Amino acid sequence: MATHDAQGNSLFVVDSPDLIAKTADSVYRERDDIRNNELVATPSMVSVRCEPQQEVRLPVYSDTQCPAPLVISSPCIAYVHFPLRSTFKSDVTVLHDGQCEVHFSYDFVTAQQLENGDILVNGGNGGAGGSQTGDCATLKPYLEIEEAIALHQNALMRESAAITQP
Amino acid sequence: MSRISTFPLAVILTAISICANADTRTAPQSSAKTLQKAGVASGSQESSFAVDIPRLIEVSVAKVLEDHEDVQLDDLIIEQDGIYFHCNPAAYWRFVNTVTLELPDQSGPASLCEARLVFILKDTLKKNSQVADSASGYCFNTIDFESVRAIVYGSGAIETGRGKGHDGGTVLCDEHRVFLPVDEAIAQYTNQEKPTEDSSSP
Repeated sequence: MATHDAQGNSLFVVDSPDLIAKTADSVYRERDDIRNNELVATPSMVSVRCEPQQEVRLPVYSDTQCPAPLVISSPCIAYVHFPLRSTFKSDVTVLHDGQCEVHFSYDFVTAQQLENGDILVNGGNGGAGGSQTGDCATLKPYLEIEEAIALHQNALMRESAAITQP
Repeated sequence: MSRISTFPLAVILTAISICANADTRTAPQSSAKTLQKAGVASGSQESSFAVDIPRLIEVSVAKVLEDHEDVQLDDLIIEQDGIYFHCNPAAYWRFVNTVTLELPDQSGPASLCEARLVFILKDTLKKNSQVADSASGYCFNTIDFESVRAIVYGSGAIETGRGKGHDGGTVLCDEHRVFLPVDEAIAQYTNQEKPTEDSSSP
């Protein structure tokens, strides 16, 4: 969603639904170690980091010589964390009135998108955890990819409506 | 820096209500910045994001100076470090009035993504360094400072607030954190070369 200054100039745009969809597709296509339907989502899975003179060095493969890496300048890089479904560990506590609390942990993989649109699928991995409360019947510590895309699209629609208010 | 463009938005009527609280424990990013590239040709698809960092800094500074009349432009410095944008549909959707704790109308300012910038008051910055391990050349460096933080929301609203900070860590003793005046911080982003793909051919 575009942010505008007093002169109406855009400051930043992050189309996070598009980012989630594109990077998930690339991870499934490029990483043989990620099984189909293994990627899930969280509401806060998208971030962008900008750093002056930031560049990415990509290995160039050759059977006959040792080529220099491909260097791409990208001061800003978008990161998308994908929790891995099979790594989730959770501990559910029943509270009251049908409410439950779940503590969970999981491993995730990270995909990146550069300013030129290139997507990198080995951007790192790690572990994360947290807690969540809600109805016991529906409480789930993660979202499906399609749910996250819909959630972000809905947020963009609300944001767009707010910005265009007279 | 890529230019801003308008992205199409799909109309999604489904409202999903979720309250999640997930904290990243470890997220080792690609420190070596050597990554596997997905099977897409360079620049073959449009980026899903665009950022105008120089303007972002400029309008944030302008709001800081407007909100805090005792602060002058020359008082402010910025650490030569990354600027982060976090996107979370569950957070910052509504501004909460911190005095009345009232939630404003749903049609008020809203934000999926937001950026935070910290402007340090130059004269308050104090750097401390202690040798952590002389054999390996590591030092424990800390800084203390007073600052004005600017939060830029996706809606265009900018909030500012005064604060104090303290942070540090163990780093190589010859590594030093760099703090720049505002104009130099902006120049870092405006003076850089266009994205290049040198050395692409063996």
